[in-house]
Amino acid sequence: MATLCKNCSHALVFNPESQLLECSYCGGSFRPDEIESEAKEYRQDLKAESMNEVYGTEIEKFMDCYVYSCSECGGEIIVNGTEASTTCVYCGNPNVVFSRIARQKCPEYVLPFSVTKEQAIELVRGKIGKGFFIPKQIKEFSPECVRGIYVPYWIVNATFSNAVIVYGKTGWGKYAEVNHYGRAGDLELKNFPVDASRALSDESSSKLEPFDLSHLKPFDEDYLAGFYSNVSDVTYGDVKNAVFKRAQKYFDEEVQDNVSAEKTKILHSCPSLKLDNDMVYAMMPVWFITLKHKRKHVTILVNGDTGKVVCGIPLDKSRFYPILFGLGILLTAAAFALFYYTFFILAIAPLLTYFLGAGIIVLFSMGIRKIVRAMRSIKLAQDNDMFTFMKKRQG
Amino acid sequence: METAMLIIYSIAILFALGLGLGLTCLIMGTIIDKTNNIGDSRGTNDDYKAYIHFTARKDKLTDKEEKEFISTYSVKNEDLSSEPEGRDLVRRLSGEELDGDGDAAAKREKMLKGPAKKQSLWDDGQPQNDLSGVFRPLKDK
Repeated sequence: MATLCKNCSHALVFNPESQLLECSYCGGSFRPDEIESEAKEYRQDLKAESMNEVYGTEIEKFMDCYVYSCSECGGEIIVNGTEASTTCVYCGNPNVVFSRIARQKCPEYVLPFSVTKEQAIELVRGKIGKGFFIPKQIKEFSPECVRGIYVPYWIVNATFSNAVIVYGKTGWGKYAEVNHYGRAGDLELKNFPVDASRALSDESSSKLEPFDLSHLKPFDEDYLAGFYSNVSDVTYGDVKNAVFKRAQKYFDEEVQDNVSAEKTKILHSCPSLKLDNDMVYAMMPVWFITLKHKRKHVTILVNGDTGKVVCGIPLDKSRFYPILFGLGILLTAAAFALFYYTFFILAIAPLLTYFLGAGIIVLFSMGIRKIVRAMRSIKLAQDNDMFTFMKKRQG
Repeated sequence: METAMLIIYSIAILFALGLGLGLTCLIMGTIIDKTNNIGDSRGTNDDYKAYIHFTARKDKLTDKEEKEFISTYSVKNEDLSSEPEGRDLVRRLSGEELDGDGDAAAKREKMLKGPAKKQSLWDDGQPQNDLSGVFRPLKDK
């Protein structure tokens, strides 16, 4: 069901720039809270029917498909089990599956889009336009598909308690000393957002943080007009795991900082997590932009409120590998010449050799870590699950 | 003499390979991390006010003290029955359930009402509520 214009009954669409619902037909614009709520109440009982029931079939691939009628043209709208708003493939009008956001299932807050589609594309162009190792085709991309999706989140308060034994080393050489340190404490996590959509990986969604929760508005389905949205489908265990992982990371980092030793690592821990009951269900805005590169789909995410761009862009291999090998050979040759002609210094100062060896190992591991991190992000942007999450929608 | 030269050559090659390849990886890794790995950051502990309140700190523990420390300070979730099952879908609590949990009900009511305005000498004009600092006043654009 779409929200209709008071003047001409044409479907209204939410404009992130003006933060108003706008009618493309008569030019009318309305604040979302201005729209009558009487009509919304009766729509809550309109439910999407299972596709197999409608067609009297038992086909497995339709198990998660539901049929709904477009309020504008009567066309068939097919949504999956978690979609709450979509666009009619026949008339292009926005539609909201009200039964999915009715009463108890209704999110309490929504963070409306404030970045428009055009701004999102510009932000991406600004980020990828200058990179030396970004392929030319990607720099001049024309997006294959751009979708604004409200992703469901649970905003959680939690208390993480832990008692840990930390290994730490102090001093050098013969003065080196290894000690074990005990630390116990509680860590309170306030307003931590957990992505509530199973189809979207936590690794991708967590990179969209931080969200500016001061922009949250009490939920009104009119904010969904013109955008896609999903409802929560995660379990209590999923939320707890996500909060646990992050809380443990923060706890471990702070504990290791608290120990006055080097090369610290956690040897033993007894963590426990308690989620508060006052979890808040909110919808957060994300632009999904896909482009095709060498038969692979690259999905770029843009936080629809802060404009943060998240993506691992594939490398321009024709530039990257020749430079990598060329530079590798050049630097190795230079280093060989340096060591060969200054070796007598190293021979008379064994401590210097020791430091040099340790420095080389640190340098090498830092470099490898940076390359692996970038490669992981690139792989994540080409992840099929994320592409399916945004692509498999009608319209 | 020849053996000594061979050792010098070998060590020089080993060091040169380590330094050359290490520097190359660091330079190239830094460049692609900056240009191709966009937005690879998450909310920090500052964003969620996640600071530890330490209940115990002990240095230079022996094996016996370690065991004692863990058994004394580890917190066990004793009342697991009050929590939903891990496989239960997360949902909003109903009015009745919230009534049962006075604390959660009060917090929620406060939140849904919107930030409560409180004026004081120290007030910077920002309404304060339970989620002050993060849930600041809703601004109309």
